[in-house]
Amino acid sequence: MNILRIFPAYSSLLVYLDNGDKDIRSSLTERAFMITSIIIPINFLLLFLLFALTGGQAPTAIVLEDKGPYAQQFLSAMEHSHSFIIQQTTSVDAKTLMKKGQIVAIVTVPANFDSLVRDGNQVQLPVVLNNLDVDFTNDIRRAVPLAITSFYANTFPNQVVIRAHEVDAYSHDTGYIQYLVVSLMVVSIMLGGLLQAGSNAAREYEKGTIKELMLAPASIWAIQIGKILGALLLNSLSAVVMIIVIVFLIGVWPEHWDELFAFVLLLMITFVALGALIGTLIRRRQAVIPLSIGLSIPVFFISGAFGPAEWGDQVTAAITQLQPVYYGIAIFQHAFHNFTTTSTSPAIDGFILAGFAALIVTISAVALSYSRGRGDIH
Amino acid sequence: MNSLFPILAIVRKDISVWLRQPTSIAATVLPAIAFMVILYFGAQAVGRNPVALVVQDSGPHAQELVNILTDSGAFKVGMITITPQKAEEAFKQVKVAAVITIPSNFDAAYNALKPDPVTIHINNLNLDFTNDLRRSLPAAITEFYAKKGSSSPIQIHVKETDLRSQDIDLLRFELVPNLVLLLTTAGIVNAGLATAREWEDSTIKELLLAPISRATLITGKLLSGWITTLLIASVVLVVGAASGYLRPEGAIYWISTSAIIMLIALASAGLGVAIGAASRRFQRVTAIGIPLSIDLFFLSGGITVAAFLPAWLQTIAHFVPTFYGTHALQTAIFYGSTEGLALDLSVLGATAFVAGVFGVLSLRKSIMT
Amino acid sequence: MNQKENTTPAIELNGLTKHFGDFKAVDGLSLTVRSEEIFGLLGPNGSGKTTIINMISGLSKPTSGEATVLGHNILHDTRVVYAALGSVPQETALYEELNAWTNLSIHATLYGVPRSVRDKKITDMLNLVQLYDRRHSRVSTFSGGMKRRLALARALLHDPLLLYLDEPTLGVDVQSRRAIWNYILDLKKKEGKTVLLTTNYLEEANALCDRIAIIDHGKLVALDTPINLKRRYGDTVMEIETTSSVSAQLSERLRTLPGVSEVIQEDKVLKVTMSADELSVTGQLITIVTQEINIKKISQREPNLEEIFLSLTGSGLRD
Repeated sequence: MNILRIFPAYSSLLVYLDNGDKDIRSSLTERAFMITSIIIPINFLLLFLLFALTGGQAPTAIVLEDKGPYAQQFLSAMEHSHSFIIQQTTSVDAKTLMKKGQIVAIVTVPANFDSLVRDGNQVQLPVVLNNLDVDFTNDIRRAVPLAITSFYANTFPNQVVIRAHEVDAYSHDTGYIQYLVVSLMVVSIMLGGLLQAGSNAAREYEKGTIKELMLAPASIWAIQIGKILGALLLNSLSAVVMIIVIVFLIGVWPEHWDELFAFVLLLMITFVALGALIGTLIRRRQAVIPLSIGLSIPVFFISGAFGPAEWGDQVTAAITQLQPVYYGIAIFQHAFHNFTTTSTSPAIDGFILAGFAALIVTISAVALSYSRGRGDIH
Repeated sequence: MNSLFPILAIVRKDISVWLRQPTSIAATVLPAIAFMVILYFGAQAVGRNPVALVVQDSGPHAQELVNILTDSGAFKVGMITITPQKAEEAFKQVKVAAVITIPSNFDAAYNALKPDPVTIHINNLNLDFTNDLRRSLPAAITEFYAKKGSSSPIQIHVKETDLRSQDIDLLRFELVPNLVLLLTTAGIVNAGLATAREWEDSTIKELLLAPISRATLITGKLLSGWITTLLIASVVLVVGAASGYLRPEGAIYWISTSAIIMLIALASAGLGVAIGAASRRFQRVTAIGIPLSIDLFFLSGGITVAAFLPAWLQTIAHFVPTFYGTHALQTAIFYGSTEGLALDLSVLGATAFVAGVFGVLSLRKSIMT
Repeated sequence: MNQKENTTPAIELNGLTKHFGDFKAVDGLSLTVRSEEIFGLLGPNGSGKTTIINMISGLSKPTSGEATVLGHNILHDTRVVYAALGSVPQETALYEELNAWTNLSIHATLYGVPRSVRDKKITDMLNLVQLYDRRHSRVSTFSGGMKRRLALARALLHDPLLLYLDEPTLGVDVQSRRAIWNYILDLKKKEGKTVLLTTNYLEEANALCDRIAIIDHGKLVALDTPINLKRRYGDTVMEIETTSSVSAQLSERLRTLPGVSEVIQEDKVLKVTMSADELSVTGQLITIVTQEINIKKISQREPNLEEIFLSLTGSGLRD
């Protein structure tokens, strides 16, 4: 009795596994590319961390020509203004640092600062700016008066009575890197999936081996799912390395491990399927890499990587909800930090993401079957 | 003279093939375009988070503060209400990043010179925008007092001196490192692909069996990589100059800009030839070339002014040749200055030389085998 | 390099050897290719043909021995040789993104064809291979046969004295193959060129080559004209249809004739295999048969190169 007749599902299972195995073996023969497709997403992650390390606080030198109490309080106000990285130095050294490009501003507290302030007289505070670009320059132009106001509010509370009283939603601040790295993980998974699966799919057309698949009496679903499984396994290497980097190197510990693993898997399926779709459509491996990078980067930026997408432009916020990276980032922020970054709950976000995964897998299978039916394989 | 025509034939051939390969051209320009998109969205995202205002005092000082907050560039006021519950609901729904509450006794406290707190409830998801919000309310308060003029209790005034004659818009400022990224990617990827293609398409035999010296062949490949890179650069420069975004002012700065671009292009083409000859496969060239270009871009502080990088990264940046290219171009184009040009040109010249040598050695080795 | 030198052998190999590690790909090969002949290099896969061609082309350095092309040592006078050499590699090595004219134009520049005659030469070559109408078409749109013809046109552009053709009709349809064969024959007949070709098509070697060298395991196994190879190594099969089966004694008697290697009776057909060298016994054979039985029909099949090739190199599959 033929087991394949009794259990047709079993024959499909064999096709899934064989096809996946075939793709894994083919990828392993192109070791350079395989290593690269693992390294590129991690490279991406580390580079954007460099981006995150770029401070928003202006490196500034303070020259205290007066070391009196008011001058010291003013220095303290500058230090607590969240706007500067302060170096206290001499005038000559400050100029040298400016020339070397290590600071962008010099604030000089004049020698008679304390006496002028005590007597209620006007004080001219010289600020030299290396106004390379208007963005940080305007930040400094706002921040110095802010520090001055803060100085007055602390030193003369009966003169400057209006003060900001802050209440935070979360008991502790989360560093920018710790926040961003979670969003980066999503796009790294996307990039890895697109590269690996896209390359596998395109290779079939380039090498002409697609004919072998198309002429096989296996269902298109079986073929495409097999390809997805193969790329998934290879892509999971990249995901594992990323988790190790994020958790152990950067030190961001997930609050919900079960959520993390479940949604890593779901995201990988989604983007591996998308990669298979892209590879089926473009059919050239040479185009897969630039297309994957070119697609991942803008999508990452509009998907709420730096903060909730709803806080940005409303049109962009509406558009971004039509793609899976948005939900992936929201779920990951919840899994790592217990943050809610969307107006829907993590459960609903997960459900929507699962829907995307199913949809993209379906479309990729349809694209492959269209390829067979259209007879355009040469 | 005997070698010149074959060299030119190789250059002509490579350029003709390149022009007929839209995917190669796309591979070259896509990273730079992607980063411009990043910068655009990044610039939009900075400091424009939505906040809700709860205004419980209708007095003139409260209204003055409301006007200042509404006009603030630090955030956008998405809601003004007198009911805190509505604002807090929006806060819970993650529709706003913060709720600022001006209390009902704001004017009275201000007039009586009593402590007059304005509360800001912040969704402190991450330090980046949290700090922006933390600064935003004190900045509004500063502006409130500044508007009081001579009656303001604040007597310290800033006397600003700018080193540069003009402020440069962030996006425009970032065009230069993006141009450098484009040159790097174009050189490495185009020259790399043009070299790898000879092996991948087996056309290397046509060149190897031609009665030309190996030096002619190598020179031709290097030159074609350089010229295709310069072609891309010239398109960007022409568009940039015509639009005014990237226009050096003065002949000397045009010359220095051109020299810098030529050196960067030569360095990246040399590196591309080296990679193409060593790998002999398209896929490896793009897999190595694009991430390498992006790495160089980031490590040279391409996304910001060098001073804002952590100290260790600033040190690394000084060893990355593209750092000098970016500095030289920004100084020439935006500030009409030759400050540091000698050092920049020396580093770029040395890099071009070394990269060229790598390209020659790698191609020679591949030809011999 | 000029026609005066065509009394010199086109190619001379002396003890040519190539090792790849412990593996001896070519083992002490010595042969001469004469001027103005079409010389075929045959051998099974892995026999060393490609290695030999690469050494003759200067693309690979011999481990020992010498290769002289048109009187010049290929390693020392490489560019001099290349100027007189035209090559059509198996992969054609055409720039597929470019059109036919541009491919030839680039080749012309690389080979120093004077600008004053360049366009005319390109036109002549494209006309020769009947591709002039497609001169502005991208090579990627050409069929396999067209690509081979274009590659041949390119190889002839600089008027070489010696041509290497590596599998010239591989993957090409019958019409194109015939056309290419005619070009090759004309090259020798009308232009006095020397052609070295490698092929796996025995029919092609038989049709084109003045002499054939059969290589196996890096060694020269046989070298002669096709006819002589057939005579020396091949068997003729004579089929004699009789009115009834012949007796065993008759078969035995036929076997004793000189040159007869096999006699088989298949129903009423007697198949006699005899050496091509010994065809003179044919008369004797017929006489003996007619002494016993009436002959209805006689047919004779000449030896073919394929059988000779297989007998010399064996019929086992090669990697």
